[in-house]
Amino acid sequence: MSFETKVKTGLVCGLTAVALSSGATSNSTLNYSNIQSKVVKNKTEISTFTSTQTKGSNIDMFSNNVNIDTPNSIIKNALNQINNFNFIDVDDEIDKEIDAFFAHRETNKQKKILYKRT
Amino acid sequence: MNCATNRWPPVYDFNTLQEQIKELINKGLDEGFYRETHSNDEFFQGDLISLDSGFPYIDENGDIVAEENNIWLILGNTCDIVRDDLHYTNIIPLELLESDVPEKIIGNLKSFQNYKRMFFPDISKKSQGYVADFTKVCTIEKQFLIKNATKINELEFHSWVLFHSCIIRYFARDDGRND
Repeated sequence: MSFETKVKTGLVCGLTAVALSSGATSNSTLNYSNIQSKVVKNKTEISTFTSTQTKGSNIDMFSNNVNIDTPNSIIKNALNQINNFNFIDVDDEIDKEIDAFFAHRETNKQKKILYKRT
Repeated sequence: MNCATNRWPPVYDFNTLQEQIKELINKGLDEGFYRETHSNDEFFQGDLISLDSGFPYIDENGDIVAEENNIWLILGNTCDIVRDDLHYTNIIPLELLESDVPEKIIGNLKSFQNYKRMFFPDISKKSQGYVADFTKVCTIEKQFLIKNATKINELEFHSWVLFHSCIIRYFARDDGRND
């Protein structure tokens, strides 16, 4: 995957994540219909982005014609927002406990070899 | 072919999202998770489908093996499913949570306390529910899916939003390399 593709993928994920997660923590209303983004080397510019925020909103990363340092910062902000999304907050110990349970669980599913490595 | 006309709208409005998630919480995980009526003619992202097939993967010996499976979740997005110029989509085998799964594990899955997996209720009550493991993704030829799959359930809007949240939470999570 080229750098540009990675950046674009990250941008899309990040924006979507922010959109999804922020709903649980803010009163802001974003209109993504006019999003146009372009990637310039290591810098992402979001232009013609319209944002309407209400009092109490904790979303301040989006305003018209804002330059955001790197795609990483978009993702980081998105993940911070997800962490504030209490409904799906994850306790790391419980997360690992569930992983361990399924890793050691015996299933009755039959396996068959489709192709034997030679 | 254009995308299905009756697909869910994109989630662009934070207030709408908030209301949808609240609605889901208020309704609980069983009532209202799936649409009461659904289309059997079209497939959508998040559909639970019945399809007898195997989940193929490369095992520890490098052999390609298949695990039998008959209940799946459609991971591929709705628009790609109806586009004629795209031949494939992605599905995830759903694991049935039978009575041997401890209540504590079920409870934590229902609270979405695992990044890799998402809980789906079984409204037929024949099991304790299903779990989709996001590390198990399978590519399927769409025509085979369309001709052979039977829809079991179709997600309600807020459940679909929750599905998106879980996908993003897993695939876009911080990998910890800069901790």
